[in-house]
Amino acid sequence: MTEIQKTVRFKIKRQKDSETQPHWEEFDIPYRAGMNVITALWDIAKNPVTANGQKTTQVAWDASCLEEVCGACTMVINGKVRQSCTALIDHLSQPITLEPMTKFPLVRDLRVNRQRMFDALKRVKAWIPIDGTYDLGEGPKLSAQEQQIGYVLSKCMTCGCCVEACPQYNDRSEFVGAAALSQVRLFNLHPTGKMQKEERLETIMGSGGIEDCGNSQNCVEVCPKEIPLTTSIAELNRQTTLYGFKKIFQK
Amino acid sequence: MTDNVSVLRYNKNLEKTDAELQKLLERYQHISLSDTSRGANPVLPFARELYNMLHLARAITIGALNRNESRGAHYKPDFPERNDKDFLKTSKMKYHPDRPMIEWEDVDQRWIKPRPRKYD
Repeated sequence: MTEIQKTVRFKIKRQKDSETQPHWEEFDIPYRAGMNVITALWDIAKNPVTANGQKTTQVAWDASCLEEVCGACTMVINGKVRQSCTALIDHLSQPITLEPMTKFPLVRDLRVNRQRMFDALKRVKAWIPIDGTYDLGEGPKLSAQEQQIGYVLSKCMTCGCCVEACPQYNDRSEFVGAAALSQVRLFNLHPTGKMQKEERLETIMGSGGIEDCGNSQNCVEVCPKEIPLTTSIAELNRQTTLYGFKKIFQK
Repeated sequence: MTDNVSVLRYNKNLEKTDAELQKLLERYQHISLSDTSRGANPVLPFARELYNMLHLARAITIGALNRNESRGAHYKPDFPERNDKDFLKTSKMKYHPDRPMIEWEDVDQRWIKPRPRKYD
């Protein structure tokens, strides 16, 4: 937008808890240079009055790092799921609509409970087990090439954009989602993590695992960290297929 | 706090800030919540944090007021030099209902002797 506007119009989906019906409220926020959705929400918190002058309550939302590395402030902004901290007002068309993510249980207003994503990370064993009983030493070296691939995958912040955009991820499916699958690839790539490679592949070979992916490729489109999620899923497809054959012939 | 208790500090302004903070603490006793719902209420945690923030702000302000020197990034134009004789100490604040109580702790200088910080 080229011309400087005096106020910014917001349309926010309000919902007291998961049982009550949602309703829309509109807000006019005074414009400041460089403002983003979070600062606008703070402005509403300072003076919770709607555009037609009615007193209301402060909008509930989550935020933490304010630099797009924590994933807490993910919401649907103008119909697209993204982080509100990096959603600059200058780049958005008005009225700016804010909605909570739809794939997770709603807590209140724009706040959701992303527990299912963290449970998925537990399911796929997205870690390298170190029991601490003895010193493992330095471990094998990673090639520069593997470092490059691993670094991109490690940027995942479990924000939920990929699963919000995923048609296969909903309350009727057990799908772990692209984020968790990509972490399997990351830990299977690591020389120490490789030792539990088959254990991890086992976790994504049943119901809710890699087979639930429908290849719509929405995840890679919305990922704010530009993680090659579909490449990860393809790579895991190869790993699970090879492991599946190995299981048939090696008893 | 941002105006008076950041990098540039004048004792006069610090005193003014502390008086203002005391006024705010007084006003806090009559705080009202714009949202009184029971679930996931964002106003309540903020109101509770605000009380702690005000006390912490007083601790910082009084700590700055007691230190008549310029150390590190903090600059008092009335005292432009670092004063190791009086202030090579750690300020510690203890909670007290009326006013944060300042205590001083000597810095361990056994291994490294203090020297001026120079960049030339």
